[in-house]
This record gives sequence, C-alpha cells and structure tokens, in this order.
Amino acid sequence: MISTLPDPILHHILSFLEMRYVLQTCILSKRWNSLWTTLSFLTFERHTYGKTLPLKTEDEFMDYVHKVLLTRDVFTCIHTLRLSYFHVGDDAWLDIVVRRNIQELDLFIEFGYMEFELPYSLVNCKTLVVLKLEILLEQPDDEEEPTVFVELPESVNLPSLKKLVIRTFCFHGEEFMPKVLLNCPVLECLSIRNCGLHESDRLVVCGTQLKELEINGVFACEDNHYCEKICKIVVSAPLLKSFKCSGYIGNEYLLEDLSSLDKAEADMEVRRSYFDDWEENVVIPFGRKKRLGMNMVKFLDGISNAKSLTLSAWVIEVLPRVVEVHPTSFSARHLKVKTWLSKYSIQGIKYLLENSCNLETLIVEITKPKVKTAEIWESQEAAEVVSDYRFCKLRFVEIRNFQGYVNELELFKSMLKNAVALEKLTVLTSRKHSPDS
Amino acid sequence: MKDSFNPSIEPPKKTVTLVSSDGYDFEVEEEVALESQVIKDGFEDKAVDDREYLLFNVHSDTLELIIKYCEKHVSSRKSISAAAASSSSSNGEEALKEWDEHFISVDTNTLYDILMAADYLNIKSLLDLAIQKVADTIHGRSPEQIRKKFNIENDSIIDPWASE
Repeated sequence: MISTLPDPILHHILSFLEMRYVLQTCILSKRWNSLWTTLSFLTFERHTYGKTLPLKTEDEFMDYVHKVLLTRDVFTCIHTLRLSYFHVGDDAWLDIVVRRNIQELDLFIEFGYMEFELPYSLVNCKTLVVLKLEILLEQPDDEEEPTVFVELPESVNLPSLKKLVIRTFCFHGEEFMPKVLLNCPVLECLSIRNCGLHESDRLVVCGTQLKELEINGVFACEDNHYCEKICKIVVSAPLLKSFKCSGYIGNEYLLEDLSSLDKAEADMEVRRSYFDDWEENVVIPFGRKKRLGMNMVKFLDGISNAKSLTLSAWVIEVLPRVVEVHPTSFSARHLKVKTWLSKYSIQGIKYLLENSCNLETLIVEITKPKVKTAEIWESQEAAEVVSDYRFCKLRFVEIRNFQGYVNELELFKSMLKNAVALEKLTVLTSRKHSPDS
Repeated sequence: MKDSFNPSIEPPKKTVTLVSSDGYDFEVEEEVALESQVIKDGFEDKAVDDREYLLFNVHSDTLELIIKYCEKHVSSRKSISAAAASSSSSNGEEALKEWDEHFISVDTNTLYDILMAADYLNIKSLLDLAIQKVADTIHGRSPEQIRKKFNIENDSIIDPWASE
C-alpha cells in the first residue's frame, strides 16, 4: 500500500534516511526502482557504514558518495546535502553538488592534519543559502577541542548565504571572520560554537545584515591547544535582533552598534572552556572578580537597549563589585535571571531592577552553582532586597525553584513591597527537599 | 497579554460537519476543522449553513483519529499560549510531543491511512509526524523486512544487488 503514495510523500520519507537505506529501497519493487534518483535531500554519514567492504577506506567511501551523486537524475537539483566524512583531499563530490544548485550544506569533516584550507568551490558557491560546518582533527586528545586551523582560499564569495553555523575549529588569523562577513553580503544568521582563535586574540564580527548572532565559546589557541589568553570579541551589527552569548566570562567584549536589539541572552560562566575540570574548587581572587565585573558591565552596556534580557548566575554574581561606579540604564521590558541568590547576586539583581524602569515581566530561576564554590555558599547570608525604589511597571513576577532560603523570602517580600503595579506573582517550588525552616 | 485578563463571554462554538467516505457524520468545532489547510482555504467562501465537507478519501475509522489529533493540538496550543501570556512556565510542548509519539504508535495499515488522510486534508504537523514514523520504520531494516512490514510485492525484474 505504501507504494501507492505519491512521489512527493515518498521523497519526504526518504529525506529522513541515510543514503544507505535510501538506496536499499530501489530493490523493493518497480515503483521504488528509480525513486531515489530524484531525491533532493541527501544524507551520507560515514559511521553508518563502519569499515565494512566495499567501503573499507576513506577513499572508497568518497568514491561511493561520488558515484551515487553521479547516478542521480542530472536534471534534479540537490536542495540539501548532509555529509559526514573523513577528508582525503578529493573534492569531486563538491563540484557535483555545486553544479546541482545546492542550497543547504551540513558538513561534519574529520581531518588528519592540523591545517585545512576550505575548498574553493565550497566558499564560492552562488546558490548556497545555509552552510553548517564542523571540522575535527582525527582522534584528538579531547573530542571537543578545536585543533584544526582553518584557512580561507584567496577568494570567497557566497552571495546567497543567509545562515552560517561554524563549530569546533580554529580560525587562522584575525582576518578570517571579517573576510567571511565581507563576502557574505546577505548573511542574516551567524552561529559560532566552540571555536578557537589561532595566532590572534581578537574576534571581529561586523555584519551589516546580521539579524541573529550566537557566540558560544571562543578561546585563543596556540600550537594545538587552547591557551589561557583572554579573547577580545568585537561585535557591530546595526540590524541585529537576537544576540546569544555564552562561554568564558573573562573574555572582553566590545559591543559597538547593536541598535536594533530585541532579545539578548548572556550565559557566561567561570569555566574557561568546555574541557576545564568541573570538580575543581574555583576560587576567584577579589581583583579578578572586579575585572570580570567590569567585563560584564561593559557587555550589559552594549545590550542595554534590548527589550528582553536573559542573564546567567555568574553574570549577576560578578556585577556588584563595579556597578556603583558605572550605572547603565536598561530598556528591557522582560528580564529573566538565573541566580543562586548569594549576597552579591542579590545586589546584582537589585541593580538591574533599579535601572530598568520599563520592566514588566521578571522571572527569577533559582539554581545551584555547578562548581564547588565554597565562597558562594559562605556568602549565602541574608541580604536586603527591599529598597525605596518603586518598580512602577512590573506586572508579572515568577520565582522558580523556590526552596524557602532566607534570600528567596527577601526577594519575595521585596516584590510585594516595591512592585506597586504587580498583577501576578507566581512562586514555583522545587521538587527537591526544602530546608526545614 | 492584555486580553487574557479581560473576562469575555465566549460566543457559542460554531461547528462544521465532516462526512467520512463510508457516510458517517462527524460534527466538530470550527477551529478543529481549520487545522486542515484544505478546509481552511475555501472556508470563508462557503455559506455558514453549508459547512459540510464530504471527505471521499477518509474512512470513518481514520477520521475519528484525525479529529482526535486536531482537537488535542488545538487545546494544547491554547494552554501553551495561555501559559506564555501569563509568563508562567509550562511543559505543555513536551507533554504534547509525548502524546504525539503515543498517538502515532499504530500498525502500518493505520499509519498509512493517517498519512494519506493528513496529506489529503493537508495537516502539516500530522503529515510530518507520520512521515517520520515511516522513515524510522525503514531505517536499519533490510529490503526483505521492509517489504514484509509494508506489504510491498516484489515485482522487480532485475535485482541490482543480486550480483553481490
């Protein structure tokens, strides 16, 4: 019965499958014989084949990909190609998909050497709209560690590219990102995850058409390991609507023009990178905390015109050391904070509330620090939230994971006293044990 | 956000009649029927008292399932958006996903009927759900197993894999 379904539906079904299983369907019956040849969403995953014959070597796998692409119907475009493979230098497959007007490419590349130049035809593809790229060194010490230094060919031209996602590799030299952005004139969405900066400590993201930006973990690399250097991240994107930023809290930010910002999320943490040991007892000397605080104040200054803000516990924790000397006024109408409500965090929250006069919605999500930070718990002592300040527009407040600690009660009291326009106050308790008090 | 705090008197629910291929009438709320893009497209042009749809391709057994699916999605959507408006948390989306998973765990014939009906009525989310289910069924199976599972008769003359 399934064979009576129309082609578009059967194609839709096949587009969910790895090519190995797609090709198998051609022997099901006559109906299925040539169905796969007009499929325009293709997925090849190296690991699906294992090291079985006849695809013993990487060359043979690429040969197979090449043959399948050649055997397809020549008049049917390839819309999307997902390919995970081990790079052996032959890019013949790439030329075929470029000729078939590829629109979306999702590549997971393993590579045996440390220097990789992106293929010319990849970064000069006129039809490409979405490009996702992850490049890993074969059998690295740590799977998550970006160790391949990626370089661009002399010419880059991606006139249709709207979305670019890059993961787990090092940009070689400071010019990498500016060159990419300069040659992607319509790029709207950029995501950088777990990437290193090689022979540079600056990441410059200047995109005139950018609407969405995610920077999730950026660090400096030397030799083939990340190093302790602090990165400077420069962002200028006048049309940016949504900005998500996470990673090491010690990086310095220079946010230039973010005048259209709607939503901003700051989810920084003290962990320097993904591979730092969680178990370590993190002790941050006061002087460094002040510097971290300064970083975050500068960052918040840059995103202060966002209508909706989401801030992580560490961002709030380091704020109070410096806020007295550097007041910012926020235009946020919605604020969501994660916090462990330590003495300092309370001050941080207080600062945010007192400087956000348009605030309508506040969500406080109570979390526990992931690292064993004794000093945070020592500073769990009661802190006054109540001030004389009136939150005139605050109408909805929600406190999540409420466990009844003293500072949670303080926050609760303050809401009742200071939020004069409050319509709804929701308290959600934690499923875990509450203290006896 | 404002509207959710103004108590308003709900108008009486308008209904639409769906007639299955085997001649059974199903009276459903308008918004449930509008989950189908096909019904939605010509809806405004139809006279209010003539809101009856003859679904020649959908058997009553299948139609019952389709209506159940649409009703669930309409009501979940409402509760999710209500939760968002009052900024309270909800796990509505996850719960719905679980419900979907359970809903689509049916035998291949029923799955096929749902797939055809979802395509015919153009209900995108249901079509995607059914298609994903079929793909999951094919994944990892040998051609012989697939033939058996989906009742496909092997009418191929040459078996291109036979030489291996």
